Amino acid sequence: MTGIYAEKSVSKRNLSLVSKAKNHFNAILLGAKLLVRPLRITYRYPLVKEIPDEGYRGFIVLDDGKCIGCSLCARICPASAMKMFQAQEKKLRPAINLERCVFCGYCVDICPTNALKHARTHDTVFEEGESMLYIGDKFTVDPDSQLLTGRVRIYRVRVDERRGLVYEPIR
Amino acid sequence: MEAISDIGGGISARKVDDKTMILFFGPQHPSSGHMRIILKLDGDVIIESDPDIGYVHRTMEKLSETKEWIKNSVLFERLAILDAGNVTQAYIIALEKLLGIEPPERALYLRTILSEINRISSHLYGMGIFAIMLGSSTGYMWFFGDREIMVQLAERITGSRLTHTYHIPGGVRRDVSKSFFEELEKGLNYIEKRLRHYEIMFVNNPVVRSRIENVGILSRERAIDLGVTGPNARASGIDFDVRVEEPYGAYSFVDFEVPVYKEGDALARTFQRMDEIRQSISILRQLSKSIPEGPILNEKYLKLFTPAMKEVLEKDKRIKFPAIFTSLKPPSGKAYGRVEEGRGEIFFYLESNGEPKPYRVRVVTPSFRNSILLKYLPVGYRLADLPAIYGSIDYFPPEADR
Amino acid sequence: MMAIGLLEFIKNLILWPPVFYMLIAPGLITMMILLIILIWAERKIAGRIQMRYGPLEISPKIGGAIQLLADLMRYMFQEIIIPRTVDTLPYIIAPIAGFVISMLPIAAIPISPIYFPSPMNNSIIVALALTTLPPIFGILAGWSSNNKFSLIGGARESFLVAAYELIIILSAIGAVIIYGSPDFTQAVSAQKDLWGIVLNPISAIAFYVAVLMASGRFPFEIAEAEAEIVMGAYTEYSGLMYGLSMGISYARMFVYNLIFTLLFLGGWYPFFTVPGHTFFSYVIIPATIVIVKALIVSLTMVFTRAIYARLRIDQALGGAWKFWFLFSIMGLLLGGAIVLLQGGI
Repeated sequence: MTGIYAEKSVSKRNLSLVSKAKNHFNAILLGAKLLVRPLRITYRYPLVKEIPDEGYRGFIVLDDGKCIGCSLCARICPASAMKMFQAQEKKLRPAINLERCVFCGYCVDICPTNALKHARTHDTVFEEGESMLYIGDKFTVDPDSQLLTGRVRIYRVRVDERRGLVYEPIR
Repeated sequence: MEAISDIGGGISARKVDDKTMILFFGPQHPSSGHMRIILKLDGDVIIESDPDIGYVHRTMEKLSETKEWIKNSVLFERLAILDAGNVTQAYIIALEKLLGIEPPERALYLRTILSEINRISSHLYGMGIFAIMLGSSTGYMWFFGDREIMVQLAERITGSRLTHTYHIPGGVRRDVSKSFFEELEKGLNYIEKRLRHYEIMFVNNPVVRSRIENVGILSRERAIDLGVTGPNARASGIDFDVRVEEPYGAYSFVDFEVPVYKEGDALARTFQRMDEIRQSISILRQLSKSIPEGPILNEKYLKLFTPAMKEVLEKDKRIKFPAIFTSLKPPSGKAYGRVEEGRGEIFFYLESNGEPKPYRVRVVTPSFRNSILLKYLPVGYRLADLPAIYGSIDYFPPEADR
Repeated sequence: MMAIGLLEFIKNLILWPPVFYMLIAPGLITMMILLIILIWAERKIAGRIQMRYGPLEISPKIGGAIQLLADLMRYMFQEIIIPRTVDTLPYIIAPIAGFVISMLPIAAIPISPIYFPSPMNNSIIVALALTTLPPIFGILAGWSSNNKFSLIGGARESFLVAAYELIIILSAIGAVIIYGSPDFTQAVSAQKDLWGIVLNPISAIAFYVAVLMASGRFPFEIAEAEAEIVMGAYTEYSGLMYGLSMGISYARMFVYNLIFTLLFLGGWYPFFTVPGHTFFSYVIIPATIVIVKALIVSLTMVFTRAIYARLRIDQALGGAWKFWFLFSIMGLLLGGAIVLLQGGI
């Protein structure tokens, strides 16, 4: 089984006046049909939010109890965003600079004790450059705990056959 | 040449032709992309066109000499971020030749599924930009809106919408669940239904047809002379596709057709891209039916797994990297990798001399090879044909400038 | 005493026909309200067809209807930048004069059988002559901006003017022949039983397409093509002058649609009076009927933005001279044939 080349050519060039009028009419009819029953695919962010599924590569969270300070995560980070620093009692712990992180997930995949994991949050606003450096206790806070709170309505995205994307409410 | 004269006050002036106008279709223009085209116009007709590229040069080839082998795939997927699966696959194929390993069969099938999803997404992007340059805002919104379905499907496989980083030397990083194939079928049915809408509203629309018929004709001899590649060459009668010439991935396990059109104008290029979307849908259906079970990483790295890593692989279906990945040392040698991307053929050349960092990486991108068309194709057409020609050759400046 | 005399004076001043027409209906205030409705409808219709919502942020409960007021306030507070290399006097005059003069034909278009600014025997000819003035200011804006893109936009506009003016005049004559007099009130009262669009459909279609060409609706948005010549003749404008230049094409479209309603769509019929209220039944009712009909025709014209792309200049001119010109001559002949059938002029 393999691929083959298929010769084709565009037929129906230089259409006559009647076919042009028919094409005009078809386009206008399709526009009118979609005007009456629209196929909407957008949603009204930020009044409504979408939450990705499990397994989405969002922010990185550290579990301090499992970390052994082997510094493999700092060696494999492609953007030099993860660096080690001396915490208390001469232990080495990682710190992450979110300005440089590209969320590739290499550090999560190489940690031998599963101390790093991905959260599902992916959008936060920072007002200063220094607050983008997550070091010490700030690195262990899981942002997903605030994911399902707040006054906005929350949806999950599913692929559908008729409308493309449908939004199922979680809460 | 025109004479230089002194008109007083230390200012010199040079007489140019008084029938032509030089127009800078520059980077600050709604439809020029990240580049500048210098046009010489005689009334409404273009008599000379000069592309000025290089605005997005990021020195990727030199940067790759400062990072280890496995970190470079994160760097190179930013070449053409719409097609990230196809670009990194070429780099990984070359790296696997240097290391002397081969991925197992299920990994080949998963790689090809991501490649075809990216190909559909890239063609929809190209046609969306083409539509807005012609003025059809409906075409623009529809193509970009339907591309969202493909991006969501890619997120189910890899965990990230655009920057996939899915391929590693020896296999892939994650496995898919059974419910993914049902969602894939629904998405493909939806795209097939929408292809009919696209034909009614965009391709058969008499206004759009008259803008793209017989515009930007590229003959077969000229395409061979200039060295163009991808759907632009296949719409001019050249039958060449890397998936048929040098099969990689799972392409030797499926039946597919590569359409080749003859006329070479913008209408043939549009038809070519829509036919390629149909062929990708059929390839995806065949792959999702006949995918075998099995491991997703090569044995050589799989036997370095500790029990904790094996448990993660069984529960979450995620590969944990063995610690050797931080300092892979392929033996000295040279290797190349060729992959058919959405816009043409991409070629990586790797050279190693036993160090953890590469000695030389050279990448030839399809948009760089197609950029010569902007010098020869618009000549003789009108000013309003320039956005039509630009959109139909699907030129992507960040990929051309690396 | 003085206060009552003053109020009486102001009331008589506002109800004097020239002031009422130019200020209230169908003049400045009505035009502003209809501009808001038309631009909002254009964006919402395009949004529904294109799988999205359209503007919804300013007033979500009524579907974002006062979005244009927010846009207008933003234009009023923006700084008007006048570049140093432009020709200052024509640069400033062009959009202002263009907007004001595009509303000038209202002085000749009656919206009521007995209440109009000045009695004219040939109001159709006067109205059509006054509508040919605004494109000159577009070309003036293109020349004075000292920018190659504006120059190309002005040149394209001048080519198109020569094409569509002739088609409009020939189609209007095709209808005037049937009614027998170049006066609007006579033309409307001749359509008491049968609308003009049924008598002479060929002229009506030619007039409609020529109005699309004149006001720059898709597929004829050539003078302000964004993908090729950034904004055409009005590239260098900012602030309130930019807002005015965007309003010019909508104002011209509405004035042309008023003429279309009176010539082809029956004017103010079906006309009914309410006994006892003279002003209400002879001014407000026919005005409402005419303006609502013109609004419906304008809504069908803005619908084409979501369907079509943009034509090239030589394709638009070729189509206008080869096809629509002959079409409007056929309409003229059809009008002549109907007159002969009715038994001579």
